[in-house]
Amino acid sequence: MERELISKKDLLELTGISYGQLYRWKRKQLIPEDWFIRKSTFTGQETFFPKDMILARIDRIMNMKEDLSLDELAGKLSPYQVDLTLSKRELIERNIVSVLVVDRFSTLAQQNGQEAYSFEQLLYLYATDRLLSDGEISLEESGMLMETLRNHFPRFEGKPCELLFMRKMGVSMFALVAAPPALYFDPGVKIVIKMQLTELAEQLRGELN
Amino acid sequence: MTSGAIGDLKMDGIGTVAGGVYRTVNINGVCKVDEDIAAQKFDVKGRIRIRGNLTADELDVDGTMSVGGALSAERASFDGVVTIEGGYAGQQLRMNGMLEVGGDCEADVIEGEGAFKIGGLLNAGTIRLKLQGRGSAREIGGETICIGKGRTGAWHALWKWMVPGIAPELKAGVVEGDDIELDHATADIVRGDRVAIGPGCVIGRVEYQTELRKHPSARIGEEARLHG
Repeated sequence: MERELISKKDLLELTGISYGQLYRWKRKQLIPEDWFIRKSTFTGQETFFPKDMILARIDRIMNMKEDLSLDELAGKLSPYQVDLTLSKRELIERNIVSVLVVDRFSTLAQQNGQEAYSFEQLLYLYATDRLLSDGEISLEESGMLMETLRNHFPRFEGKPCELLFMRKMGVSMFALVAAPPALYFDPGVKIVIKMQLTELAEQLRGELN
Repeated sequence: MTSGAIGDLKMDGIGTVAGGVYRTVNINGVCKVDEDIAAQKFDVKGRIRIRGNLTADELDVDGTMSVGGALSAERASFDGVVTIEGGYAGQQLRMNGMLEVGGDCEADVIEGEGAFKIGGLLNAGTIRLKLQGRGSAREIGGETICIGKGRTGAWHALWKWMVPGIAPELKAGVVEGDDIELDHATADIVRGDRVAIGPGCVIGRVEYQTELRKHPSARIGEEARLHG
């Protein structure tokens, strides 16, 4: 799945922002470094961005900018460091994750409502719920997914990573890889899911706010 | 930076200094630091070599400084030759002399005179630099970019001695900004809202929105007006 890119020039034209603004946001780390994709074109070096992500981000910056300084904004936009917790009741009431997934993968304290969910835990539930409700994975496999995320996701320390789900001859497996990955398999392997966790975190934050 | 019970450092002469966190650091002489070092106020007169990263709220260098890692300084003032192998990030940078940065160089305001060499992106809200030697960067981006040849005057002989043999000119791959004013510059592409191309420029392609002013001696390969 090749992601759609937008050139810097088209981006500025589309959003009406100036070069100066773009560079300032980059300086304030409102736009992550690895979204700047440099490519050679016939006019020389051009910079491209992942289209859906950059457009969503610019939209958020423009909407939030009125009542926050740029430095405050930077804290709000970093992908995982969201100091936000949610109780089980809120989680189900706001319909962010289905009851089935919440019940299955919560600790006892979280079930009773004594303990809240951290953003990372929410992200795991959100990812699992998404794949389950899309019918991509079975309930049994969802357990495997949760285990993979819990054990290995923190090791990326906020760096961008992708979740891969593969099947071969009826055997399924999950993998977390640093993005952008270059992985090639034998022809018997079918990659069922390739999911950007950074992007998912972004969507989750959109729903939480 | 929070200040608990942290000490000051003062050194005169020649020596090696331990890294760590300080409130103020004052160095007069020749000094070496093998680790990361951080201070609220960092003042160097002489020559300092830091192997690790340097973090300071306020940094003042008179002489030469080389940093093996990255430099982060809110307000920095350089008089002399400063070499940073990593990147530079800060708010205000005032320079007089030669600045070399291996990575990206980012600040809100960069002002001064001299020569520079930036391996990555030179990104600042306002860049006002007068060149006395060569200025080069892979990319330059910002709101106001004003880079040109410095005046020749009484100090010129000194400048020539400090930065020998290189003509005062700017070389960059891409220059992008809102207001751009360049002279004696060689660049592949210049993109901006209001662009002024001064004498001695050789530019491959200029893209502008509001206006383009150009000096008769400037050579521009292609011009394109964009409607944004």
